[in-house]
Amino acid sequence: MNYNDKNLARTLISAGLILLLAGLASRHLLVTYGLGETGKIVEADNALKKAFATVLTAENAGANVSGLMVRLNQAGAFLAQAEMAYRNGDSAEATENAEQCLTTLQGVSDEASASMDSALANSQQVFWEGVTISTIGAVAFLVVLAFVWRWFSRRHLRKSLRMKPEVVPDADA
Amino acid sequence: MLTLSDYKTIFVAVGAIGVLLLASPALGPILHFSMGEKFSELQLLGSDHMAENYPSNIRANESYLVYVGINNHMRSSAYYVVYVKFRNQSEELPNATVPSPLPPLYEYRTFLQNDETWEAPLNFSVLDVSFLENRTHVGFLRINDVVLNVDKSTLWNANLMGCYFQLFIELWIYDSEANAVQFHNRFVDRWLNMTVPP
Repeated sequence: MNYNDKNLARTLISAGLILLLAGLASRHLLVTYGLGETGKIVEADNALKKAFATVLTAENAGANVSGLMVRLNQAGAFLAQAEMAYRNGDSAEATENAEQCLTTLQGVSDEASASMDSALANSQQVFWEGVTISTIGAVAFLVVLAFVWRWFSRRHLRKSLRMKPEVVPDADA
Repeated sequence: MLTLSDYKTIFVAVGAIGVLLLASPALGPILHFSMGEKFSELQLLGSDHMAENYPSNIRANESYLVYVGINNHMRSSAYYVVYVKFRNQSEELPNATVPSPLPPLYEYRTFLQNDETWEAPLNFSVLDVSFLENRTHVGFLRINDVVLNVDKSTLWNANLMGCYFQLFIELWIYDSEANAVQFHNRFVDRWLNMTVPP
């Protein structure tokens, strides 16, 4: 390999490295800037789903979630605006709406969790009250029923003993 | 006449029923009985909130109003997404299980508690409409003041005697197990005749 060939090889390798670095840099820039609004929308979408799942769990535990549903609806409206703006190519509005969605959702999951804890504690108290009332009621009912049965069976027995034997005419006679 | 043994059976039965009735407050939170089918309703209503007076003969640049409604009977809160789509006669409609592959033009997102109803206006107008021989072309659709690029053409339909487009609305619902919004197998639609020149 002569001097010119070596130079050519170096130049080609350098050019290749520069192209590779440029490619990586452009990909990084695309992710950072070009797809930034998509990232925000995905983040808002995931946050909305997560917040709803927490609210649903709280509701199933017996919590009153009316106030949280209002905030979810506000956040949902922002996300819908963000999605439509993105589809229409308005990146700035898409990002702004996605950020407003995230801001609206702040604290929703925490409030839902707190409501759920409170509802669970309340439902446990209601459950144990129910168990106590049921147990006392059932025992009292069974005791009363036992007394009634005792009185009734004795009365029935006495009545049976007082009964006169009935004479049945003999059919064969 | 009943014997003492028969009376004993009656007392035991009364005792068992009484104990079950008294235990019901404690058993209530544990036992869950099925209370019918879980479902959602999707409605498209006319301008007077009734299933009548729907727009059908559409003129360019004129505004038309319909209402989209949802009733939640899923026995718990639900997260709904409503997609508004627009197609010509050759493009695919959704069916009972598969949504249309067309991209949504407009969307609503709403959260409803059980037995709650939601309704929202859908104000639309068609823009940049042109008529060329046997076809109508629509450039843009404005829905609730958002201008959307549609760029669709439709041919003269000899059976229906007009150039028809279809505005249709799909209902999607969030499934917490899949952690995704999925097609809820419901859609409503309106045929829009765009034969009348502006």
